[in-house]
Amino acid sequence: MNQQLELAQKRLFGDGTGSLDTKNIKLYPGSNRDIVPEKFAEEINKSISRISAGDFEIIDLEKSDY
Amino acid sequence: MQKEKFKQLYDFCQTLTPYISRSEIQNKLLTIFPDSPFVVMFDHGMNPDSIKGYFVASNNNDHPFVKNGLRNTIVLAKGLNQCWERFVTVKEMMHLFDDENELTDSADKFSDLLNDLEGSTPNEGWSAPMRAETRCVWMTLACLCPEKYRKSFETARLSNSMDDYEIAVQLKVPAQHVPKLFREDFPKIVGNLFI
Repeated sequence: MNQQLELAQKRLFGDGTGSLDTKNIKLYPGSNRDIVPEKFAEEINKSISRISAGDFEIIDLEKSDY
Repeated sequence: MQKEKFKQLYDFCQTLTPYISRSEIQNKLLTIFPDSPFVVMFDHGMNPDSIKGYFVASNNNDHPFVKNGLRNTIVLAKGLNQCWERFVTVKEMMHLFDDENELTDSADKFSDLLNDLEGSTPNEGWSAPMRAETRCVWMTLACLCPEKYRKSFETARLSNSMDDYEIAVQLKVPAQHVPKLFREDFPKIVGNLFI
């Protein structure tokens, strides 16, 4: 199995405290129509890492006008 | 999907005037799902060509990914225009209405979903989570374009007094989704979302 997919599955659904113990995940693909499952998984892995490390920006929808 | 709950949101949106902001929908969702608040955030590093956004519901409140104790997270790529950012946000919000069999709650279902999203699976073979993905696009359109406005746009479009781009600008939705609003089966598709 591809390493990125395996890693994503472990981080999302694995046992133990390092897993998000995911109840549901859905995604909106980008405009690249040639993307493969492994690339989706890689993007998710990187995103989970960044956000877990504090690299994110909360959006206050009440202060957004759209 | 949880049709009765979606009907509450749909009926609420029919009372609004486009364009409809994300916070209007968020606030209504908080009344429909008082136990499911969510946080929306940018991931500046995510490539929008690969993933525009995603929704995660986590059961692990102690994971550092989970912010402010809120287990439902919507992550957006940075760099989308306002129409896309809004559309993706609302589409991901719609997954609160997923029912049990539509949840991507296992490694195998996740793998199946990614394969379906790749486009390698014929539509009739889609997994239940993938069918929820496409259904949420229709739900988003139904919420962001109240029916009386849709009919008005339809008339204007038929008389060539408005084109799809002008309608997209008024609704502030991505132009590529506008033709879906005027498909012959749009009322039937939307009706099936809550009947």
